[in-house]
Amino acid sequence: MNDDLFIDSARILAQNWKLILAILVCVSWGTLLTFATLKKITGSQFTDAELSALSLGGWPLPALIISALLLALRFFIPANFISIIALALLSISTGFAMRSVWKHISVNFFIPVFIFLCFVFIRLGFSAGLILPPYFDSAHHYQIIQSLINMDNVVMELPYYHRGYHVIVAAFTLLTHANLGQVMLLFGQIILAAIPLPIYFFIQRATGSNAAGYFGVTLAAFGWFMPAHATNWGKYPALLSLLLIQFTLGAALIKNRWLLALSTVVTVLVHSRSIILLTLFGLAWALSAIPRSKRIPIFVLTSSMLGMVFLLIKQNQLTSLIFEPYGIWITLLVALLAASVFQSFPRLIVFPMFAILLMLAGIFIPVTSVLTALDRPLVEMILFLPLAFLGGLGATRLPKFAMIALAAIIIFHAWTTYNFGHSECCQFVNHDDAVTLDWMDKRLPANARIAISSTALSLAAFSAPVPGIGTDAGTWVVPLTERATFALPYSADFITQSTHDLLCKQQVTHIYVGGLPRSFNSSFADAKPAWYETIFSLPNARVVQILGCE
Amino acid sequence: MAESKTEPILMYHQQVQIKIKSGYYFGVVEVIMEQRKKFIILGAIGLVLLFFWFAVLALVVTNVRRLLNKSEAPEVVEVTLCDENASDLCIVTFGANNLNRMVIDFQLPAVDYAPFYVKAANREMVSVYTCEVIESQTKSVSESEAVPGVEPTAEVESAPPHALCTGIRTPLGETIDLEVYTTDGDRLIARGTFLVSAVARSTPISLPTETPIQEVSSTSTPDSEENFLPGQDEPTPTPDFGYPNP
Repeated sequence: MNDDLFIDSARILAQNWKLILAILVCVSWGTLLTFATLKKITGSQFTDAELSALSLGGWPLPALIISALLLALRFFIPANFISIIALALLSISTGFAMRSVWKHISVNFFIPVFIFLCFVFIRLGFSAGLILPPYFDSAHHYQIIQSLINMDNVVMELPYYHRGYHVIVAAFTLLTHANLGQVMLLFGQIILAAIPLPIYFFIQRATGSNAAGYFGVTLAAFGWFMPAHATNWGKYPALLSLLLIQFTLGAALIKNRWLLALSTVVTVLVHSRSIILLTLFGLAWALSAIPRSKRIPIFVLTSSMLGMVFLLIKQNQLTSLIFEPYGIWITLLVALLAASVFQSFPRLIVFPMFAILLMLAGIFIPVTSVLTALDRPLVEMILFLPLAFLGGLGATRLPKFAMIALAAIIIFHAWTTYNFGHSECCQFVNHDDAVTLDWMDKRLPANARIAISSTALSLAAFSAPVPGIGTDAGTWVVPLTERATFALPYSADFITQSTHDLLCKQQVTHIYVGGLPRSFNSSFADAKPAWYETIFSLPNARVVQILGCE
Repeated sequence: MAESKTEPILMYHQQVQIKIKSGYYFGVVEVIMEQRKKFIILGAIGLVLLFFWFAVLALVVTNVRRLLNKSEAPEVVEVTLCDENASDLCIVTFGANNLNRMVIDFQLPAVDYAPFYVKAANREMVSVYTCEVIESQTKSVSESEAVPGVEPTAEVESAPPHALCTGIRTPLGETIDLEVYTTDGDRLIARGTFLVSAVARSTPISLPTETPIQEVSSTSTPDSEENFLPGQDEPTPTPDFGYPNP
């Protein structure tokens, strides 16, 4: 399954080494600045490895601040000067950070960084063979980032949608002049590589065991399909927020109000639902304050509640999907390990269990007619976090050799079970699509309106389906060609008079036909030559012109 | 015995006192500081080496790929009209189908010729022609059909493989520049310029009964009232949950 992973990773590195290096410089800068700040705040209260791991979750914080500053400066300063200002800001801040930490830094700082770099190399292989970032979310993010780069008003007109992520990527793309699609793809993989590291901070703090901390990191990185599978969904803002949520929880543990407030604001800017998740974590922490005498009953009650909710959710067609990426064996191992140390860490074991319960409950709490407090993909993405924490806590009592053996088994299980490459489920754009979209960009009139295939998606248990979600490369027509689109159900029957009338009424001029199972059926053009003419055709993509409209 | 045990400890303390006084202790601190610095420098060097390793790996892969590409890169052949001894890709006829679209009949040099498509330029307009390989008509003679004097299971090739490429029809009497690209890898493998002086038309065949076009059954939930297409069958309410799991 992953036979070619390292070759793919090396190939991606060879092809994009400049861009990867630039992203790593950005991440290193943010990590160093965050580390220096944490070191200044905490003094010698925490080890360098702890702060380094936590800083790998906090790098988006300075990155967002400087990105927003640079984008705002473009209103006053010519674009050419922005790069010089950025370089100066980076150099000065790096200099200050280095100066303040150089005398206090230990070699332990480099261990989490080393692990992160190894994870980066492993995760790069995902991008092999991808032309554009996966699924329909990516097209939307691409459009917003492009608008930010071009300083279009479109961004202002759009409702709030994870601006923090867009601002960071827009500023980075503006400075590096890199291909935006590639930036999104590689940036996403590097975010993914950093996500498992901050869990070390929490486990090490709770148990005082380095080995347990790194065992937790192993679980977060390789224990389950998530969060890695989320890159197939193009859920980049949510992935970035997984870093910042951990950092914000770390800031709460450090008990620095300003840092906590700042990181909460940045986390919410990166992904708005983070505020709900942070609130739920806070609530779970408050609920887990158990008096000594009630430890056992509370544990039994929480476990049975979790089991009941699990069974109830299994019955629901939508929510049962949540547990699919969480295979039974590793989850069972975590549950057993956690149960074995309950007497030592009663509150810390109950806290993540409450957090899981509350997050699952969040899927059922309606906010508007189409939104619930949390959606299924987000909960599915974040469940690994409390589970890895439980596993890390549970590993403290294990002898070192057993912990190493278990970590090796977890990595072996991941290698043989999970696909580290991209999944075929979510690749909307193949080579033919890219050629066709390029042709459309160059050849179609600016006022062309293109019908694209779509469907309605249900993301929450009780909310109404969201209509007009793209189901093939047609979803990239707006971001890449800037032509208007008209979403139709992918099962639309173009041979009927009513459909042709609707297309004419909506002034649709062309139809994009992709080669995916949920693309329009391509046979209609040959069946009705009076109404449709194929003007561009490749084996997996074609453009059909609509004729016969008066 | 007890005295002999305590004696060296006292002596040790005395030694330490003397050494601290003489500045030895500060030397130890300096050594520890020096070691810490060494660790940090070693850590940094380790990270640089890791990058270096990645870079070397990347360079090796790039060079290997370049070499492979060089060795694999096919020559761009000139496409001509087919003659009796044609051994390379060539064109048999320019034709048109019932939908008045151009059909170019290519003769392929081998059955396993790489799948390709054609870009045709006429009046500065480039169109893409999709190509479909027509299986070569090989006849296998089995033992039951064996003819006296002919080896059983011998294959008799009756026609070379062909590919039909369909696209926009260009005007008669004008030249057309053709470029042939592989579908896999998009590499140019052949090119040629032709004068389209005649187009072979297919004879319409009148079928006894027209096969009705099967309607695509709708299984999606309508997106909105505006997008719901009148005339479609009532859709089956199958919810679409998006974000497919692994």
